[in-house]
Amino acid sequence: MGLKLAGALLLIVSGLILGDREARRYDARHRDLCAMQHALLMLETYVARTVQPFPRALSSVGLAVRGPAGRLMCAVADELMSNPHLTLAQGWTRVLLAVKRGGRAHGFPAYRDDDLQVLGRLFAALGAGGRDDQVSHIRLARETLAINEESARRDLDTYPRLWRYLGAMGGATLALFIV
Amino acid sequence: MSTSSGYVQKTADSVPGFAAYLPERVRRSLSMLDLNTLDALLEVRLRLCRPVILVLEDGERLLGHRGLCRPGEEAICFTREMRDEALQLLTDRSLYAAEEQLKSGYLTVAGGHRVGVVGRAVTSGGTVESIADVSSINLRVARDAKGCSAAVLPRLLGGPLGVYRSLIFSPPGCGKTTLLRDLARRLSDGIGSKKPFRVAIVDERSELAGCYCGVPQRDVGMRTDVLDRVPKAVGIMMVIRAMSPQVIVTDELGRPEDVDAVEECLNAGVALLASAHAGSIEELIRRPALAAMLSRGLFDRYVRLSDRPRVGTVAEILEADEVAEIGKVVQLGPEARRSASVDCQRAHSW
Repeated sequence: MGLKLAGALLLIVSGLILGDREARRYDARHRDLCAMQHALLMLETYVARTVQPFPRALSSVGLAVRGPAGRLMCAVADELMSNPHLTLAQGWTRVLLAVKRGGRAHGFPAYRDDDLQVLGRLFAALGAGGRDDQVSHIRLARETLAINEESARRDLDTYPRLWRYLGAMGGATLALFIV
Repeated sequence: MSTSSGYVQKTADSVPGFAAYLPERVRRSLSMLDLNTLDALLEVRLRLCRPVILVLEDGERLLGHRGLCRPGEEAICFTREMRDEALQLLTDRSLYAAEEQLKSGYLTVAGGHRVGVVGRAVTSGGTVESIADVSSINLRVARDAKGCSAAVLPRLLGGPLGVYRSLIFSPPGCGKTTLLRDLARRLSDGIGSKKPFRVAIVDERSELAGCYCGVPQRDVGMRTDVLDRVPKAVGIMMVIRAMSPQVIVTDELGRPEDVDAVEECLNAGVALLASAHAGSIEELIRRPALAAMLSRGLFDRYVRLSDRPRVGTVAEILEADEVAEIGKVVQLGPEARRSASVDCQRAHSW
């Protein structure tokens, strides 16, 4: 009986943890999208006000912004600096592949595909245009991410609580079966 | 006086360096070239919607998908996508950061390679604002010719400043810049037991030192300061005040404002090594700014280079009084010139 109770307790705790982990992803997405917009604002400033090339600008932004947004920028900058024959779009694709393969997945779990697509379109447009052109592309990406962030904020009101309940209830249901 | 020595040394080491700036398809094809072809490579010419051309020492060849184009084989066509890729790679993925450089029609990339860029010039008030719709890119492969000044240097050492004020002249493509660079390096590093000089390079077009992000990409010596991308007349005054050099090296004199700057330089007790475009002393004298320098006796030595039998051949080294004599003859007219029988047959191979 003691063993059954311990098992049931373990299931409830596991359910709580799983639910909480999913709920945290919503929190993290909202936070990371804010950070990414901040990073893009910094990048826009670098492009508009300095003559720093993108690899160095991305590196500076990456070091200044905390969290996954900063790491993502640093990863692209590293890729470009270590492979001078890559275009920005190619550098981004390589980083994205590494993320999807799981090599760096622990770094940015919160971004969804539609967030990454916005960044993909941005990197495809950067590199071969004049200053004004580049600034407008960055601004467009920032505004699109702002829309995504708004949607993430709305999700924040509903889904984290839902996942926490689901985790707890799921764990409790399984525990009931055991007991 | 003539001295001779073939000085164009060829290395294939620079190939991976410049190939990184070319579109992937061109890069891949270049990697299939044999070392001798790479050694002889002078330029890569990319023209929109036309085949990629390699300029080799012995002529031009089309670039195929697997090295040089063989008869019946299709050459690589330089497409718009390839142009955008090349522009990204040439500007460190940041065309916006290179807009200022592009106004002058060329870029200097890591390794000191020079890239000429033309397209539709966007002008405002008569000045070029930017280059849009780039149509042609010409990558000139940088080569070092260390030691090429060995034969000419002893003739340029001496006088109260330690180095004679010297003007190197030739038609374009005869190796003036290469010779100047090696002279700067030798003077800066020191020659044998002689004391080294503090050298300053005023590099208006980033050709002498090939600075990239502030770092000279060519070996110009350990005691050489480089003032990059500044008009010569302004730059000469700036380095005199800022770096107190003993020798100033600069390229392509010829504008009216250069005369005063050169005079100022010499009055400040600084030796000057410079170059100018001219095929002969007579041509030099016919250029107003250079004629003014000659008539004021601003130079002690005149080095004429030739591309025959090979690029970098020193055809003659004249002293100031010899040039003054020629100057008088030139002013007297063609009849007197013939009778003076200026010896122009003294060219020998190094």
